[in-house]
Amino acid sequence: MILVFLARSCMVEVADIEQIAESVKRFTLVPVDAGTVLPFHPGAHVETCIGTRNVVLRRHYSLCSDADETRFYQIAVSKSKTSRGGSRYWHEQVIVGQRLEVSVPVNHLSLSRTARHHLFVAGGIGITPFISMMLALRRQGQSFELHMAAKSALACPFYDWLSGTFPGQVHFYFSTEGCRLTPNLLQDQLLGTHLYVCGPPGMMKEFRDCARAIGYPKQSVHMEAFTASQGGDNHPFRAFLEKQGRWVDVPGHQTLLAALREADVNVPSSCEVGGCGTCMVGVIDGDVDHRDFYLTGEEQAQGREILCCVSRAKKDRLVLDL
Amino acid sequence: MMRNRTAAGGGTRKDNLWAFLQCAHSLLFLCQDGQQESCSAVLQMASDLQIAVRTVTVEELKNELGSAKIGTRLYVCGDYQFVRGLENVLFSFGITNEELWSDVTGATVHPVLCAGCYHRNDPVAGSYIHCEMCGRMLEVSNHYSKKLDAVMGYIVLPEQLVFKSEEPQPSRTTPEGR
Repeated sequence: MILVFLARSCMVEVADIEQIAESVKRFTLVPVDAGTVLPFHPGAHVETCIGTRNVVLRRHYSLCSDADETRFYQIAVSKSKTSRGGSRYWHEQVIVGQRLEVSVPVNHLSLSRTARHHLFVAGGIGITPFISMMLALRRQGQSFELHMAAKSALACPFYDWLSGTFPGQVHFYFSTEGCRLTPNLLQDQLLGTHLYVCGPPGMMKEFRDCARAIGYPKQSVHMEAFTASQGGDNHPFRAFLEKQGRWVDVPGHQTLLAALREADVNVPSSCEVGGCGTCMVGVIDGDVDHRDFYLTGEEQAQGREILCCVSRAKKDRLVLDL
Repeated sequence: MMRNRTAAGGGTRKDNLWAFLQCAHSLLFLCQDGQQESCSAVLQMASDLQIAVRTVTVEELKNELGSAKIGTRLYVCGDYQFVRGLENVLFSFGITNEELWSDVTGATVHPVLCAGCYHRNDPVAGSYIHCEMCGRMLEVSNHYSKKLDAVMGYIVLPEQLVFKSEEPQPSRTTPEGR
């Protein structure tokens, strides 16, 4: 058992590739040693390491297989028009039989054990972490519902499977049919409801803000980001590290996290899209341009913390508790 | 004296209560008999914020929770046993600390969990007790477990007993034969 927890990654082989929607492929990954995959909790993701000798691409993907399935992992990848290389490589280069490294499963989106009702809201490929969660809830006999937005049924990943597996619990909103998913559904939910949202940045912010306004407690709102918010302009700024007594320059093309690491400041990180809070550091002075989904509106307004992976300075300087 | 067990905040009681009620769309109000007078400030504040208040009894609580909507906040007031009993019901409905304000009146004495044998000793006042199961002398800490509704009782080692003997001794007697 100890070996399981010490293992940082394992080698897997692509056993199957299926086109499950327009621009979405599902990959089945089996362990190379023919044993079982490391167990995971519903909602977990892995970091995959793919690429050639010259370019190594590390990307996080939610596990969309059943958490009770020990023979393989499955991930679904949407080919992004603005791909930085990861999704394009998965769609165009990865073939059956290819081997790659995946990390141990990590979970920033655990199911609440005390919720009375679970309310899932997914935008497109944001459905992936919810599949294992809904399967687990169904086994436990717990109450849940899914609201999912996509361009159309053809573009909607897992459309047929979701319709057949969770009849009456899944609601689709297709923009080509003029049907829009709005936060109105957050109202009139039972006390004790937990909300889980995964989708594009704009949708996540809209649902988070609305949930807080309606009176959802902070610990009942769970967000999983898969892309960073684009935010405003990326002007360069300087960060003063108060404890170390030195300045770090953050150019416009670089994140604060990357600049800190380049300056040999070790800040832990995980999702790197402003969703998990791992890279949060204290702010002593300066205005923060918050671009994360982790801090609440009130916390962002207080400006005492910054998520270095996505957020920046509003002006030309920040003083950090580092 | 009235102490708040939940909805913690850094400001004064009035500020924290105001912040708590500001998030409410409606308020379920539950008060132990005889404590109504001490809750008048809460009701006044809810009225100022134009929050709909519904007073419920212990018997009505589960039914009310069954249909209560998100955005409802709960206020309970009474002695420790009363409040703790209600909290168990509320948490079983998925209510979080952020949605609950509990005012405890009177003294609060928690059961003590023995760090040696894990026996849950009945509440007793004092800094030191003897575990009623294993007989060890325990220092009563303020490490409270919501799940166990008990504070941790740390074992006092024999070499510490010399010093502890100068402290007030517990009123509890050790089990026979220990």
